[in-house]
Amino acid sequence: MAFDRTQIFDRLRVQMARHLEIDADEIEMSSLLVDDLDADSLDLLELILSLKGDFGISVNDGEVKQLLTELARFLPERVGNGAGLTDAQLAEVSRRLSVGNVVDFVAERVGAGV
Amino acid sequence: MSGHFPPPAGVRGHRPDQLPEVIVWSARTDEVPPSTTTVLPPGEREAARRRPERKRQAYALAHVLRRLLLAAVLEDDPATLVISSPPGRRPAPVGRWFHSLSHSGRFVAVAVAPGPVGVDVQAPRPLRHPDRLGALLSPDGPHDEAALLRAWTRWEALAKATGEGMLRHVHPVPEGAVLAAGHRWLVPSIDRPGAYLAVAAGVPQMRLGDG
Repeated sequence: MAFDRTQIFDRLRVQMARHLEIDADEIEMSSLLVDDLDADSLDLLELILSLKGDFGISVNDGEVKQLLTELARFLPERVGNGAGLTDAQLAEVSRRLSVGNVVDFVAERVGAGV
Repeated sequence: MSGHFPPPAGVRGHRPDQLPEVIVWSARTDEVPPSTTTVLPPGEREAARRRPERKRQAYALAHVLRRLLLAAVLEDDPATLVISSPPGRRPAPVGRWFHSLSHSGRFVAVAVAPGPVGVDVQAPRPLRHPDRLGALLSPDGPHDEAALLRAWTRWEALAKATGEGMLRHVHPVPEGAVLAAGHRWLVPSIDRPGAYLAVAAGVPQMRLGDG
């Protein structure tokens, strides 16, 4: 199953709008999940669970920590020194995570052209 | 702790029997008079403005109520309280008062206590993966929306109280005492018509290893 970046974004946007009960137009690539879209922990866990069904990406259920560690690579500014992230740094990752970062993560995992 | 702190009009006050020092207020955005955001500092007002329109009111109300409740127990001015909430970490106490807030749909909840505290409220909402969520939160229990949201509020209240937040692995949290992060906690569900509400607070004299 292959998706390009636009298809991934369109698909994520529809799912997130439905789940967050907001208008899809309010979701942009640059939207921060927490500070712009007001996603809470349950929203993020549901997002993780959805990645498997929507894109075939496997992340251990309930392990937000694992996903944040992987997503940290996609932030524009590096967090930590590359030798593993502390809980405080992972919390910072969650705060700085944008929809575009999730799109990039999915694109890499499904082998899409970016 | 003694003292009576009546909530503002339209806001419900809760004092869980198991946690007499914890004060919880909960509200629905359409049941309270339009909240005055004048008590919010520019940073909190700007954060509310950034939220999607449907979430803005609940976000602002939760932050207003947190200031009003802290001001009530501290006998201080809600507009001048200095509240520090590092991303993803437990907010720093104000004076000796720890605090927590939550909002979901039209519902908001805030809690204060003289020790670490976490509160979570969830409005009824469809869950996309009830079976997988149920396997994490309640492997042997029902996986209907109400049961799962009730179980989720207990987990998230505990995760906030320990300071781990979303980095804590998801697991069942019983109504009774639970050990987490080296301490013993009580995590009662609170009856709140129309929503699911839970609060978590430590039992200070029962540290892990004491018996």
